[in-house]
Amino acid sequence: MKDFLVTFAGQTVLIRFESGRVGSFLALLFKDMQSFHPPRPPTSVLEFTDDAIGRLTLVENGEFCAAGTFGVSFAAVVFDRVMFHLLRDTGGGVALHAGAVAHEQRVLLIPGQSGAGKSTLTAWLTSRGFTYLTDELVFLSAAEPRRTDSFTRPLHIKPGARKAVKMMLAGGDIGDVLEDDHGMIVPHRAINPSFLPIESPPSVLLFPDYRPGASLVVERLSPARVGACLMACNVNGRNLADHGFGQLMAVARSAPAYRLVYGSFAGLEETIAALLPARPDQP
Amino acid sequence: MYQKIVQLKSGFFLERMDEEIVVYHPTLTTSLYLNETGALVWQLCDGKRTVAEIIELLCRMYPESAQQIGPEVIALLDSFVARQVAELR
Repeated sequence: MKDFLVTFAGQTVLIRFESGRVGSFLALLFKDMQSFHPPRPPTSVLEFTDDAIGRLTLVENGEFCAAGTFGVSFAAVVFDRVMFHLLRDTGGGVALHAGAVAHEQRVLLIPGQSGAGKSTLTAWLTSRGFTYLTDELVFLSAAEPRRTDSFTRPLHIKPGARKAVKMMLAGGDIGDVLEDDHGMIVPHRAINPSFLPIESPPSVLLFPDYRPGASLVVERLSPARVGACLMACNVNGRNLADHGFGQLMAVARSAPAYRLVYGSFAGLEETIAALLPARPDQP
Repeated sequence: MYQKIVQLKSGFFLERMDEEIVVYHPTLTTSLYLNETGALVWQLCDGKRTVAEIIELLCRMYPESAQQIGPEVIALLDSFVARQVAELR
């Protein structure tokens, strides 16, 4: 068995596998999260085996969990299970359903539930030169409020957004793109080969609201509205004494936030550029 | 409905931001954003006042808006009940 360690928010999951095909699959899913010196011993062990006809089996801590093929839907299961184990005991901060990208040292956080359009908007911003950080999950440390951990997985694109995202592919790892009827798994380097991750706190929050055919609308949100919206995106509240309420209210006060209604990418670039605050190193 | 007392569930976390508030109930895992009007109504729901008393109090505070206050308060309280953060007894 070979070992593959995935680390996020100070937690580590050990993934064990035998075949090179599984190793390549895991590298596609967790290339940017692989750890060789984990901060803590792994709390969970996930074992993958595959057979001659390409059927994969996932066993968690000795118990059968799932079976599937090397496709998008099984990749989604693997993401979910790894995130579950990484967050199961995570205290000391809040994990949020959110995309995140960075531009010149400023982090743009894109919180939202599944289906809100986080991945598509994140992909588009990445194609416009933003640095990809995540399309799914961030961890905001309570002890280190100046730090944001990003779950830097490849983009998970739903079937409905495939056409739009294909137009953003720029080269890089295009050969690694996984696509089937369930959507796409797109390495972010296939959209923007430049990748220099940062861990700065959010400079601006953007709540996407994709509506086909809708005109572009930007609405500044009050801190109280932002606080309520962030609570709805909280993933690990059960691990925290106040469910992360105090920390998220502080986040809501700390950065400007906007609701972005859009039906296409037309005009988005200028609009979002205008929402970004000045770079931290500029007056 | 007007003679019923509004009883908020206990155990909420509450954060005031400017004139608005956010409330969160850890058991219900429900968060609620309340604008200035909503925040005022929330604070008047003390477990003693009836719906009619809350409306009357607000009408005295804002006589120029008296006509809208009744329907607004009823709609707000209906939403509290629907989201299980309050009950009428």
